[in-house]
Amino acid sequence: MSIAEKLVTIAENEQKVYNKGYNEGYAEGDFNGYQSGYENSQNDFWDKFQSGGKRTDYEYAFSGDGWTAENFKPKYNLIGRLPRLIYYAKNLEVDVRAVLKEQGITLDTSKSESLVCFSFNSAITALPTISFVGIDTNDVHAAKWCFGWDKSLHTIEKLIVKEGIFYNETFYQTIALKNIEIEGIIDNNIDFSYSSLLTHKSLMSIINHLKNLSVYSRNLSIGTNNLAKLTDAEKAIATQKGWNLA
Amino acid sequence: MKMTIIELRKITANDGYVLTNGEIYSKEIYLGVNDSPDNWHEITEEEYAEILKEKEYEVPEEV
Repeated sequence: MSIAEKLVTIAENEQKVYNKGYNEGYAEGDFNGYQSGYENSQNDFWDKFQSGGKRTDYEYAFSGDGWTAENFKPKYNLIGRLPRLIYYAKNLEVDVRAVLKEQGITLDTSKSESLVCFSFNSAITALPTISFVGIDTNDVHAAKWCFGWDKSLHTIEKLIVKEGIFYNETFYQTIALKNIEIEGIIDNNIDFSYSSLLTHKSLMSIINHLKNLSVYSRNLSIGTNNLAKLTDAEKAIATQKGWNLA
Repeated sequence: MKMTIIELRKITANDGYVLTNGEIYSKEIYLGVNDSPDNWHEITEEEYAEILKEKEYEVPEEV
């Protein structure tokens, strides 16, 4: 088929050419046809993968070595059951916030009863707001290793918490974490001791959202490096609320 | 003029020891207002190293 003929065909039926491009254009070196076909095939994939936006269970959805910055392009909002969402995605070195923005979609974790191993051992660098408000507080493992072994994760834009959540090694080996903003109340032991790079602003956000304990004690572990970033008056905000600070 | 006195109680482990209340471990602890130094005791650094060895597992293959 000549170029002129192709142009006529394009004008007559653009979709037909896209499909033809997908099936044959590639072989003919028709880049535009190939590109259109490629985009169509991507759309087909995500439509099926996300059930046209109706998928509600995303457990293990983006797990494994196969996910990369090139192919992690979800088309529909991510909402529903989200434990182990980005599990063992060791090649997925992306700022999830940027991907979502580029794709024009959102990540809503607020309906998930468990976020165990949410981004466990992945290469992601930043996350948007993560909400724990849907977490089942009877499940002591519901937030376990949520960000565990995320050794490149430097920012969690906001973490929305509620009382009753068990922070069971939620930040275990989250060694690059610098920025986190807390919303809600923390009322159980929480350990940030692996996150020695936390900014002063992040540390104060954590301290300012600790529950005021009337009779008992809880433990906030932040490690020696982070302790050195706080004045005595700032440390006293935590201790006056009944929290042991280590 | 207003004067505020902020009490900050810090306990520090002796050389070669680590403090614990059975939940957390550290060389120094700033005590919460409801806690007492009596709830803390020292273990040797060797004992602490053993505990760490058990705690700091490798990345699990499957969870």
